[in-house]
Amino acid sequence: MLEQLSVGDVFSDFYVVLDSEDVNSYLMATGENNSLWQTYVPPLAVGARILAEIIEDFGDLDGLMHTGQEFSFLSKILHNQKLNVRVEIGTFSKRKGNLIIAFSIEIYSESNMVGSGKTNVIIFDTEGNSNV
Amino acid sequence: MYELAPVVESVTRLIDQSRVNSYADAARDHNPLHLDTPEARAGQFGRPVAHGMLILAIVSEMMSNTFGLQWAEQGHLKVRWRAPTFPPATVISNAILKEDIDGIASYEIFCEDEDGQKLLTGTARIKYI
Repeated sequence: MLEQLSVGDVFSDFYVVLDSEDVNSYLMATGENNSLWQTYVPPLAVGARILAEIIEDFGDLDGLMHTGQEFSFLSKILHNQKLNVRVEIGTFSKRKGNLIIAFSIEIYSESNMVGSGKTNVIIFDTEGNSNV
Repeated sequence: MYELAPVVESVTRLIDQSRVNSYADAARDHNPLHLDTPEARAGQFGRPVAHGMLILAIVSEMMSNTFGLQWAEQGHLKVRWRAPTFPPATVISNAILKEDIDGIASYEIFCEDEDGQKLLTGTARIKYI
């Protein structure tokens, strides 16, 4: 499926909502302790949830490695705020059997863009077709 | 508000397997590469590796500690992971001011472990005025 993707294709389109329980779990796990996040969502908690959705859409994780990440945060996000996320193929190349993909991410609340990002992954050829 | 870009204080965090397991649940990322699983032991690193986003979370925490909600409203991050983090590791997140022009501050950021191994490098930018 991945090899059939082209730059500009929509990889996935979904929404995320982080409630207080989600945020508290995230804070407990990361060790972050800032009273701001009793009302608002830590920006990276949104990023983590989006990444999880992208990874879930991969299905087979064999050989997948997250190599780089970019985020622009444009608005504070409240607990329970619904965010619509659109993930497109930003760049796509194959090198020595390994797939190198950059996903472009746009995050909206209603019609307002509240964030954007780029996720870089490499999928190593685990079937021995690589020349590396 | 600041007149000059502030110093961003480092954050140090122990990343142990228990924290990685908790993060897997919280972030809903149960890739076996990160857990104490046969897959992780048979994988290219031979042991579990912490989520890259867990390391990046320390960077975002560091910036939020300094800039508060401004970070959530006008922050920008760009990073690459340079080496895997093997739990347990003590990770230190650092920011060095590189540019301060018209109220926009750019910091070189990096995370390293207790041995000085760079785990993550990149830039953080924020409009702070």
